[in-house]
This record gives sequence, C-alpha cells and structure tokens, in this order.
Amino acid sequence: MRKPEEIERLYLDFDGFFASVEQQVRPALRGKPVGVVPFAGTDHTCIIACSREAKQRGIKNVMPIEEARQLCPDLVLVPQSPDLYRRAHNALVSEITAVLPVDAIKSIDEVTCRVAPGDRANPLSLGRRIKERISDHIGSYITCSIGYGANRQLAKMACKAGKTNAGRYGDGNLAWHPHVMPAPLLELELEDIPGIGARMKHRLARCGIVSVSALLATQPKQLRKLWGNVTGERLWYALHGYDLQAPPSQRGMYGHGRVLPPDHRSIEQARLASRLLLIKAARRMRRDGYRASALWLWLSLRERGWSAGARLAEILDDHAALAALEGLWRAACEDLPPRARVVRLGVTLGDLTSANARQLDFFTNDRARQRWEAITGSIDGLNRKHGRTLVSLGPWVPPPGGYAGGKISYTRIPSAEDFW
Amino acid sequence: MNWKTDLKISDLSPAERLEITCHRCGKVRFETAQHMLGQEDFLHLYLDEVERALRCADRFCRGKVRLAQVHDGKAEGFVGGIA
Repeated sequence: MRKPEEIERLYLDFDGFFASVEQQVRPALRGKPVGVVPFAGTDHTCIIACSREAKQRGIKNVMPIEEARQLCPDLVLVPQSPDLYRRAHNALVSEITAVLPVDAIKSIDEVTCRVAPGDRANPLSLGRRIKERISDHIGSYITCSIGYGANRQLAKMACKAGKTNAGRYGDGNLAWHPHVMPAPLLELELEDIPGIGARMKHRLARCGIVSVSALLATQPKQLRKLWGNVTGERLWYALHGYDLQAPPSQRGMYGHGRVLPPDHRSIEQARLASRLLLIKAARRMRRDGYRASALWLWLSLRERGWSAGARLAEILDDHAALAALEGLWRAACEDLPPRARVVRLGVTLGDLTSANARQLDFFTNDRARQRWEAITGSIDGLNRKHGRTLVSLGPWVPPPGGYAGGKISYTRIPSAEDFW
Repeated sequence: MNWKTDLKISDLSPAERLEITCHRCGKVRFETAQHMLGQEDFLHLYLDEVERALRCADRFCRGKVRLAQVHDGKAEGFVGGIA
C-alpha cells in the first residue's frame, strides 16, 4: 500500500451547518444562540444543530431542549428547514468545485477533495481561497473548517482538531503534514478517532490500549482481531498515513420513518402515513434503478413495538408495494388492540436487485405486473413534469409537520423530488 | 458573482442534471446539460445568463427561476467510521 509523503487530501466540514444557514438567511438570528429542532411547538425533543454562539454557552447537538434552556435561557429555537439546507448544500458544493474538484460528498456538511500537486506545499492557502469564495459568493455567516492530511481519515481528524483549536469554535484551517506525524495524533483521546466509540474504547481498554500512542504501537492484524473485521486493520493503515479510504458501499434498502404528532396516532392515520412514506421510498428506489424483494413495516407504540415483513417478487411498482403493505397492516390490526396509538412508524424496501437484471416470474401474472409498472412509470413522468405529486395511487395525505420523506440523515442528502 | 458566472452549459458533463426552481410558484423541474445544449440559444451562454433567460415551465406562472447543480452522484458513506 502506498504511503504518501506529502499532503494529498483535504476534508471540509461546515461549522454548525443547519444553524449557520439559518443565520445566513435570517438576519434576525445573527449573533444569537440558535438551536435547530425537528419540530416547532414541543419541548419533548432535542437540539439537532446549534450555532457557534450556542456552542460557546455549552449547548451540544442531540441535547434535550429542557437541558439546553437551563444552560442558555435566551436560546432561540428554530424548526428545521431540510429543503433550505439541501439548496444551501448544492450551492456550497458548486462554489467549492469552482476552486477544486470535489472527490466525495460524505454528508450534507462534509466534503473531501484531492489536493493538486501544485497546492501540496502550501495547502492552507487553498483553504483560504475556498473560505473567501464561500464568504464572497454565499455569505460570511456560513463558515467551515478544513483539515489536510496524507489520507481522508487524517484530513478529517485534522479538520476536527482545527475546528476546536485554541479555545475557539469553527473556521479552522489545519494541516497535518506527513513529516510531522504522528505527533498531532498523540495529543488526542481515543474517542476523538472516528470509528472508536464507547464500546470499542472499552474493548481496547480490556487489552491494555488506553491511549492513542498504545493504539499506534499495535500491529494491523491485532486491530483486525480486536475489531472482529477488516475495519480495525483499515483504521491502523489510515492512522499510519497510508493511502486508504472507505471502500464503496452498496445500497441495501430504501425506507422512511416518521414520528407521528400526538393527534395523528390512530391506526388509520398511521396507515395513511405509511402509504405515503412507502410511495416516496419506492420512487427513490426506482430513480436509482433498483427493484425490491422484501418489505418491512415497523411500528413503535408507547408500551411495545410491532414489526413484520413480506416477500415481494422483485417489484418496483407502487401497486405491488402498496398491496404488500395492506397485507402487513391487516396483520397489524389483528395483533394490536383497536385503540392502539402509533408513536413512530417506518417502512423499508429491501433485498434490492438492479432494475435491469430482472428475472421473469412464471408463477405470478407477469403481464399484470408489467402493466402496473407501465402505469407507475407514467405516474412518475406526470409528477416529474409538474414538479409535484399530481397523481398517486390512492389517497395522498401528508402527515402534519411537512417534509415527509425529505429527512436529512448523516449520509443521505434528499433531492428536490423527495419533498413532492 | 457566483459559480454560475464561471461556467457555461458546455462546461458541464452531458449527463449532469440541473435543478430549475421557480421563484414565484416553487415548481421544480430537472434538465440535463445535454438537453439544454440542444437549444442553440444556450450554447455559448454562461449559466447565470441561462438562468435569466429561462422561465417557469408552468404556462400560467412564467416566473423567474433559480438554477442549481445536483451533486447526488458523489455521495459516499463512512464504513466503520473510516472516511
């Protein structure tokens, strides 16, 4: 494996992304401690992102609102706007691409790039150019931290170290040149290394590895055994500065989940919400060119959970997916009390196969399936043409709160079509 | 001044999708660079000029639009915490 002798990778992470986008578009929020929350009108949730001012007051992401209010009584809570963050992400990536090509988008607020040979001697100036461009063309309230290293993992860690450098938060620009390694790593705690969580830290401690220096002194195969898979060995090579990055991963499922508002938790309301979520998941699956052979429905009730799955015949059309969902709901209605309250639900299409690798099924009516696939294709075409859900199979009742199917997860950036 | 003032349609890869959103009615449509290159008027225009020339596809709206690049092919996950 190649071990780069100079900086080859850049990792950029926006500072408090959701909150800084809110501050950029809403001047009234600038300079104030801002916490972004999933929904308006309830205190029974947590902060999903917070501004620099809030972080300076001790607020952290995933902190319950009640606890955050105790730390910072003047905290301004703003409900999330996923479509706004998605648009900001697209514009910011376009601006970064104008300075240097983006190698990979790791999440809605993290990108990584290859550093061109001409910039490797002085990568910090490259970072300053990116920051200037964002400030000039998007706005000065959206700041980012940039790290540089021999590989993506070291660049990411440098980015995080630069973000919280010298008692301040954000706007970092820190390079870890291969010739100074591993000195910067020795200043970190084990849990500062991406991939080492609380459980792994305990497992390492049981083997006497309680510091980064002890971790670096191990052998690759030793970490492989400790991790129980190849990830440990990969992490060893990444920390030692070898040219290594995450292998491409295959998509395994498409699904959506939703917490239902308190007055929309009856079985019938949950069933309607699940239909909408399933149609949205099936649309995404078709866009990416897959078929599904399994469907799962899971429900969280106050006192218990319920889940069931159904086998499908490599389907991609809404009709087949909805028919299977109705079957699952019939089973749910038999198992659950009639007045059950569904707090949270989710639908998942799994066992994916490529849409153009379909095996014809002799045991089901293939002509009928092809007809429904043609109808689904026409529905998708109409919706795409009109830029909204103009046609759907059965009722289309978006649950209160909006953004059904448009949730931003760590690695998923929704498309405009997900908000239709 | 932004990325749109630096790029022409012909600088984009033909399969690249552009998101076109109406400022007035919010309608979103997608066009590939290849499809837009098929319109001779756009051939030598920068993207900000294309943006000014385009109008909402809804014939009852015809509002001004916003052009955006879609970067969905570049997303990569973390595997075991490794970037």
